[in-house]
Amino acid sequence: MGFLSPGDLSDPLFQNLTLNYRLPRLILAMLLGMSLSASGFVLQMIFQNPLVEPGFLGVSQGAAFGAALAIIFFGSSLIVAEVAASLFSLLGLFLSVFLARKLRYGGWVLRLILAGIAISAFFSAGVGVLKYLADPLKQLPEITFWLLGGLWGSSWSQVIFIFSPVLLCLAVLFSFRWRINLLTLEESTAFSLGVRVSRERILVLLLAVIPVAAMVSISGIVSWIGLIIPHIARRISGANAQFALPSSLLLGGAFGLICDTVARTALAGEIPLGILTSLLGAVLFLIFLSLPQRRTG
Amino acid sequence: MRALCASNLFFSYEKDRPVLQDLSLEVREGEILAILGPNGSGKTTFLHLLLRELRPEGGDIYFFERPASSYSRKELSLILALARQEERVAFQFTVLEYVLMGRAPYLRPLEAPGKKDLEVAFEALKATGMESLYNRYLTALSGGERQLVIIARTIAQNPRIFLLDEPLAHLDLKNQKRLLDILLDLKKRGKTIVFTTHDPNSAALVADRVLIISNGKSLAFGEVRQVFQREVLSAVYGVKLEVDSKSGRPLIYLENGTSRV
Repeated sequence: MGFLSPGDLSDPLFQNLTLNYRLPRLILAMLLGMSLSASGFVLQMIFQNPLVEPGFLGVSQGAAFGAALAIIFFGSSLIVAEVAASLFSLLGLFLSVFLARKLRYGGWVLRLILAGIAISAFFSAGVGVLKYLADPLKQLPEITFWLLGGLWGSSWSQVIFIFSPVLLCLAVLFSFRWRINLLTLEESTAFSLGVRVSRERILVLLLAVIPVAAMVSISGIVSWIGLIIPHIARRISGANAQFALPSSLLLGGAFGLICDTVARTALAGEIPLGILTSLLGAVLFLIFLSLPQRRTG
Repeated sequence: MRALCASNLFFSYEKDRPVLQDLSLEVREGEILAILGPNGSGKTTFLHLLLRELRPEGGDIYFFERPASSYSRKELSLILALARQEERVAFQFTVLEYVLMGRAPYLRPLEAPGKKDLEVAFEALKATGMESLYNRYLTALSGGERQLVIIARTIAQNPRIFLLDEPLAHLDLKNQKRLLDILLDLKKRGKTIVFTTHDPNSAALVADRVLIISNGKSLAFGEVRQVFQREVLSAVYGVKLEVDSKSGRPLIYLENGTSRV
């Protein structure tokens, strides 16, 4: 379409397409990739576990539940679904953290992961109930389509809606990045280095999850970016967050853009973004894991 | 000046199961204190109380004649460094990146280490003989090399008191010698060192004072010569021991004289 072939800016149709549909979608695709990969990177570090992704901690399932709830009870207004999704994804995070504090099993990291799994399961059961209740002709396809994830119907109002929280959080994370290294150390070691471990973890956790909550409210559930991109970034730049977080942001932005472009152009109809990122992500992940490891830096 | 003074410390993780009972000691600035005791005797807990990661249920701790509770977290990180017994590192940091983390107390929250910190980190690696490994992954090192790199991180932190939990545990004889030399070198620079060990002979080689604890109670505390007496040690370890003090520093044998403790 107009994005790839040179067009005439004086053509009002072309102008309208580029400025009002393509450009906001481009920005959202990049921000989505950046948020998911930065968030995945940070969560992997603070949980000292390279297999964590932002979908943990009830964020994605919370968003799904919020969106489904809005679609069923408040009609198909996009804005309502978006607001409900971001509110419920944050609720998912807060419930996970709250539950983790109440659990009496294992250390902080394990408790948080277990709590996240439980809260996710709770919300996904809720989504199941809502799907069951939904009008099979009108609401159910809408919910399903939302769950598959995608950036169709992107608009400037969506960009404005998420731009400041996302950029603000990413900017703070970016400037805080060397210190995130300290949070990967054993708790007492970090403590001895003057880190207020619980406080800094919660702060970094919030900064990592808020952009994702804002993004999934628009895009629906897009998985794998947050898991695979941080791995590739670390492979390229080493473990040090000072360099690996910027790589993660760049690669994530690029990957989001590529996936969304393919989703938009590969077939006559739109391919849901979530399907593409899972497919590409899983393939990349397997290729990446079968490459030989570097031994020295 | 007393670098460290603890009086009548009590601590327990669970009610009615005390881990430390009525523990008192003092260490002067520039001295080395060795803490000996069987596994589970409370040595590590004691170090974590000093670090103020754990709070004692009773008793007081003073650093440089000031109550430990009056220090802020930041101030404490400038005077105390900890090398844990086991340090799990989940990501592939290089040795230099890891040692640089020791500079955290000197950096502002949004600051990354600079040129000066790099110099300090290299000095610390040189002091431990690990400078040639600076670009290796920490996860690719042997247990002994790793232990020395952890010590280098505490040196880069440049504290006044070093808390070292079993620093000799993974070391072969050559590296044990190297570590003991590092401790003596730090002492020469006026640093105070508290370390735990299972080996009374290593303690005897470098320590000025020794604390022996068992089941959370202090069995003996004092200068090396006072504590390392045949009767005291035999009672503590429950086997008959001989102490040979002819060479200046005491040397401890099992009584039949064939094996070193």
